[in-house]
Amino acid sequence: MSLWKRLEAVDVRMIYLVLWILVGIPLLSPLYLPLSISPDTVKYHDAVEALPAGAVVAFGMDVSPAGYGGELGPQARATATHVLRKPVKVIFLSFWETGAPLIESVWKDPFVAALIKTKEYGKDYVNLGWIPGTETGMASFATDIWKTAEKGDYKGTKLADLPIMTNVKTVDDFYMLICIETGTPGGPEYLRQWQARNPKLKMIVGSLGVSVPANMAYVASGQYMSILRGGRGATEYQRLLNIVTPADVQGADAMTMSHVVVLAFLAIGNIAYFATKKPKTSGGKA
Amino acid sequence: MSYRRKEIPIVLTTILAILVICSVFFKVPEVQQAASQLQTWTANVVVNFAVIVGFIMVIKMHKSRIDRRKPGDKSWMFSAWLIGLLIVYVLLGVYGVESSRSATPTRDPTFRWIYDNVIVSLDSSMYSMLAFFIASAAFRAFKARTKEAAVLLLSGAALMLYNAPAGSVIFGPLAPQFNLLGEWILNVPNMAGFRGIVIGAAVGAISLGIRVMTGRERGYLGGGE
Repeated sequence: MSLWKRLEAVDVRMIYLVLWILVGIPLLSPLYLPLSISPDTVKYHDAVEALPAGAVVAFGMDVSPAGYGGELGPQARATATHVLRKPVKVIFLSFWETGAPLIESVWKDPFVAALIKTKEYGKDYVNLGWIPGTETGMASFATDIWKTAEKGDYKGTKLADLPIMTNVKTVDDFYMLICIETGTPGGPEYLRQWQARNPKLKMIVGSLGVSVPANMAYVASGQYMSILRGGRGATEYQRLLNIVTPADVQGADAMTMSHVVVLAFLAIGNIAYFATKKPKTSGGKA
Repeated sequence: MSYRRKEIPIVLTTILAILVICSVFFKVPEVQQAASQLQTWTANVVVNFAVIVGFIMVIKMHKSRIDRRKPGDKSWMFSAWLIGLLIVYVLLGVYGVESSRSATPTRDPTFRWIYDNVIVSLDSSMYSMLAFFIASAAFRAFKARTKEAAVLLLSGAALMLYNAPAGSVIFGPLAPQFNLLGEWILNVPNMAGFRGIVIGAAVGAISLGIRVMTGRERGYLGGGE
């Protein structure tokens, strides 16, 4: 049996083992692999940087734990760090029941925690927790925040007792929406329910890598000011903000290695296929 | 009976749908307030009832799996495990809200510990396992067997190199030049395709809405037809 035929018939467990080893190396010791900063990340950074003093920013943590772990967590932590550095008011909320508890996880990040200590809860920032109703909830929130979040913030404090909410009644009072999204409801739903009502609402989105192609149409149309593209976008943003930790580098390197492995397997698999292909068997099904 | 089961829900649906549609197109304060109130009810009341219905349905479905268990088949244990955990987690949530005197159970240390250390970890692990399946699929299934498959393969590889940091590692200083290809695929053919899908879905949603309001689409009423 030729080498290529043997490769074609390789045990799937060998593939898993190779991936496991190559992803494991950077997790044990960061490799500091090169990374260029994409224009989308620079625009995302510049959008937050340009926030005027006193602007009200909605921070939607519309994420699942699965998305949060590798890609959206670093995005959310970097974005929260950047936005809390600015003299603005931040309203954290989530239309995903699984996303609301992760707001507190973001606050535990050392860079975010250090900034939060300099801010006053209820005056500079607030956590409204989970807003039920998915897209209908978004529509309701857009027209009447106080009625939709009648239960108060995540601690149960009534909105009337939170100074930050005094002049925030509808989404017309928001200057910017930052949406960290896993799926539906996410960016497109915010566009329909919030930006359609308040066309001046600036919007930036942190998205999973797999959702980037679907979101690019909204970036091109100008409805999103910019987008963070998956784990890569998170790492680029962290480097722009100079808040990279060894753990972040390890995660980014592991992700890069996994992509390199997939691409290598793709190439080897196809070379093996063409090397072992019989001359007359052209065509067939994909 | 039939009249009440079909016509009344259709009339109600149509009136309420027209109310919400009018609130978007006409700036009449009374209409906008009524629509806003309706949406708040839907968000706060209907969703809570949906959770209760979902809870009951999950238990019913898995209970029937346990009841129909066959000798030698141990898969019923997963259903029993699911029901057990569902009840325990709901009780912990209720206790969490009471004990922490807050609007959310996640302020209770026990509930929070389970969320952080079980749910987040397991959910992330499930997602991470995709890497292994994708690597295996890339090697065994993603082959350029036809021209169409070759185009898909090349665009997929180019986009992966563009979207993931791998491009910078493989191409080094030439990565920005190579990225132009990925950028073109993302911004031209991909965007054209996605815009078509989004516009098609929007037109479909409008026509479905019209069918529901005119009583031609009755699937949401249940009962077969």
